[in-house]
Amino acid sequence: MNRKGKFFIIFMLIWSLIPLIWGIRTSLLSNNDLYVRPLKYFGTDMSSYRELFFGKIAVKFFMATKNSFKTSILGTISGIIITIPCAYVFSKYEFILKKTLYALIILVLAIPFYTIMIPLYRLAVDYSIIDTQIILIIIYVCGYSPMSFLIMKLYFDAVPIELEEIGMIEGASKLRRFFTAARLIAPGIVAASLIMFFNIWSSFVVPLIFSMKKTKPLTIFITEFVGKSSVNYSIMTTAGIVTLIIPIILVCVFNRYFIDGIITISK
Amino acid sequence: MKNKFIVFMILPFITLLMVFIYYPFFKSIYNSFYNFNFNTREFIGIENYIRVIKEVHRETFFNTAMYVFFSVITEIVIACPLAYILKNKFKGRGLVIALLILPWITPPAVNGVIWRWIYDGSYGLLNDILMKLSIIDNSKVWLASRLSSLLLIGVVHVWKVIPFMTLVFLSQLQKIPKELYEAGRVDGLKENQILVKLIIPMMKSTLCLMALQGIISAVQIFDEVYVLTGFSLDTRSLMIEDYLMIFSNLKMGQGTALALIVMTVSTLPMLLYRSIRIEKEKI
Amino acid sequence: MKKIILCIMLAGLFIACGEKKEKQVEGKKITVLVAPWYSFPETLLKEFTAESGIEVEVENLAWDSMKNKVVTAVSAGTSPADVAQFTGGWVGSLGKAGYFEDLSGYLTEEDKKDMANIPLFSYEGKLFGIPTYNDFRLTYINKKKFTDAGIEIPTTIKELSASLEKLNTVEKGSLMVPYSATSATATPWFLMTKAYGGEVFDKNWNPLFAEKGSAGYKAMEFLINSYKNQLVDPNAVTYSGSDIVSNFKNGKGAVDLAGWSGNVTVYTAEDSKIKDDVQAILVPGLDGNSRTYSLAESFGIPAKAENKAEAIEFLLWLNRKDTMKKTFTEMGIFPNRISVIKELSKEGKLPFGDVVAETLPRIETLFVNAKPAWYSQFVTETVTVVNQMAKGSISVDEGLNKLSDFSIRVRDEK
Repeated sequence: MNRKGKFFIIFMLIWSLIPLIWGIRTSLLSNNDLYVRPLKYFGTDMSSYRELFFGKIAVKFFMATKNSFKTSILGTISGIIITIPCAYVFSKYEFILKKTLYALIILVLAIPFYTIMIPLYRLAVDYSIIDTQIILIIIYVCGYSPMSFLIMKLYFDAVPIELEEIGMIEGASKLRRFFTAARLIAPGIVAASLIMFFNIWSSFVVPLIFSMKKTKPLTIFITEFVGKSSVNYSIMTTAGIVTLIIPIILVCVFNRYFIDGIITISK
Repeated sequence: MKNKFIVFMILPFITLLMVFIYYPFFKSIYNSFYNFNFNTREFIGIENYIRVIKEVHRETFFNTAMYVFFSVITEIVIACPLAYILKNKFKGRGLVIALLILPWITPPAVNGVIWRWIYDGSYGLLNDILMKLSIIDNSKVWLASRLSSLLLIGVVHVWKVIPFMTLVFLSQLQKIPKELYEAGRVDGLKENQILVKLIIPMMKSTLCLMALQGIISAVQIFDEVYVLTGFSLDTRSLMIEDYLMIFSNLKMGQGTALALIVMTVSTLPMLLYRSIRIEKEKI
Repeated sequence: MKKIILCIMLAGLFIACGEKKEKQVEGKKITVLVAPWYSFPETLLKEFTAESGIEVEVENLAWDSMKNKVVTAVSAGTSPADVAQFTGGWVGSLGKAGYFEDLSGYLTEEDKKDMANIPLFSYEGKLFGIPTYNDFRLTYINKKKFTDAGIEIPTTIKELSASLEKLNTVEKGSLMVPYSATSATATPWFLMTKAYGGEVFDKNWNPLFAEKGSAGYKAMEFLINSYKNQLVDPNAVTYSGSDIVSNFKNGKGAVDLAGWSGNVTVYTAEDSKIKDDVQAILVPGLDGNSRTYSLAESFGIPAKAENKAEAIEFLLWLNRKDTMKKTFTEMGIFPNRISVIKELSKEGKLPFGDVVAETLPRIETLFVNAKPAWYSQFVTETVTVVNQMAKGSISVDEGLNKLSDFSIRVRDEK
């Protein structure tokens, strides 16, 4: 990588991280210390962290973490499982209505949530699934899967025709060919999964409307630190920083698989 | 046989979308021709749409357009080269990627709060740094003037979206075989020429997709604007206007109408362009 | 790779199974949907359960989020909880739609007299909510800054203006008022309109403020000129109500003009930098006649709630004198019973109790009539216009005319 590239990377790192570092600093100051000049650049006040992990709100906090985690994992798994076959078929086969259905899938990306929120809420209440994991997962799958679908379809498109033809000559069943292809695009699956997971993890408006106490995720929990006449920014930021930890771990773990995957054509 | 297979593979997904997205969606469209008042309902045809066009504050159009232009251009211009640099292995690449992704996975509430304390007129980081570097003499209230607040909010939005785009570009770049790069180098092309002349044409469909996604995401901008500047007309976006219509004015019909108009206007050009291109390529 | 996928799937299955194991609670239960400052301590709720056998499940949501949820639920024809919080502004719009259960039959006449704000939540003879947080406006000053500058406590608007200017020579930004486009920005203007001896609307909902010389006009001039003459921190165009409180609490500024009643506890708390310097005073009025208005919140029971009987029991318990005292001392919820305020003041548990007692008879409703269905829209437009005027994009004349036209339009809309 040449020097320009290096500078660019360093610049992007600084640009990405400074706000977060500032966030950590905010979380390490008591709320009053935020209104002080000259600005305090470092904080050592762990009271927000203590409050979050051991204080009165710890129970709610852990519950929210569990909910976020649960929903994100289940949502991702369901979404990916449902979309892989679809992406494969759209990539490899022709059939009537293909263009229409394709357009319909992509169009979902453009539909603003407000347009479907109220009828969807009604639907959920009518079938008694409001405030359950199920309705949240369904909405996430419907809302975020089109992106996964597109990513995986693009990957499937790149699987060379020769592989297909080998499969056909060898008389492998369609299903078998599908599984082979699916295995080949493993990095694409990982990429799509990560993207889906992060989208669900940071989702706000959906759980706002569709979840109540039992399924409240971290994104909503964070907003609860608004008092009647003042906002406790310190603890809000603390909660926010902590919610970043799980995604960070995931990214580190799956990084290898995602990055190193290059389609190897084996004969 | 083949048909059964196809149906079996796509049915779950399509059905889900039909039931949980399109059914509510069409119901909403249907509702937008009625005047709702919780218990009563009367048919008023396209009056909701007319009212919306008359009543929407003009400033929101300008603001949203600014957000869209700034965001999409910045995002693609930064994400593309970034992904290109990241596609090659280098020491610490895993860590770099993990760090670069952080802005995207920061929850929206936290996002707003963090940037608030950067842009704050008295206690913000931005003012402090600029003063320390002697670029300005006194703290400025950045979020008070229109252009600077539009720009700064755009920055927050872009900060959040770039990692996502970079990831998608990166995953597509992985598919391009190394031989292509080799061929380019053999031909004597420099790195950025390879990027522009060889790679980008291959990524056309991804670029289109990301441009579309960027437009949609910028048109629907809400959190950043609300947390930093409230309902101020200087920076109000169309989605905030929509939010006010539904939750403050309690005009569901109009709110839905506005959302539909926004959706159409933001996606139509892109989709038309794509379908024309696809037609062209078929020939 | 495969192993990891397998692990994840197993984890998913475990989690899914864990879901089903949740116990079904026997007995009666109610859900309560309220803002975060009503995070009832477990001990308090347990007292209620012990007494009544009803379990209470409290859900706290930030005010905006809660509003969204309530509106969505109502539009879908359902109830968001058994007990839901709402403000006076919703009475008109939601009351008309039959959203609430009528609670008037459950309070005695004595109760109704003792409780403030009952008219605020009544609509066409029905009572839609039992007022809970008795929020009204009070002015707070940093007494130390006043004494250091040799100024007396202002009781008229003229005195207020003079004090602000003098204090500003010592330290800029003496007046603490928000000008951002958030809901708290409308309050100072409403308050000052009353202080100038007028009203925002007349009894037929004609806007009175566009006329030059009306109380509303003068009030707006006062506020905008204060900003332009730097009596207010220039940052105030980005400050919301809570920013004003946080800044004042940390020693900035000298006058919190439209302060919350609940701040009697906030400003005197241990962590407040001004706890020894702060003083509550009556809102300065035109000829010393102080007026203020109420922004109480209340709890109501949606008509479509499932457990109405139990919900009513909870509400009545919450509004008992002893419970109300506890919610004040433990949670800072400003009591809604006049008798409780007097008792707490006598016991020394209510800071500035004497000023509060003096203010009580001066608390009015915001408007001459109950708040209209278009109140929310009006407030949003008001704060937008104030924000523009402070920034100088439009003049006071233009702004007030714009607001006036707007209110006429929404008033006459069907």
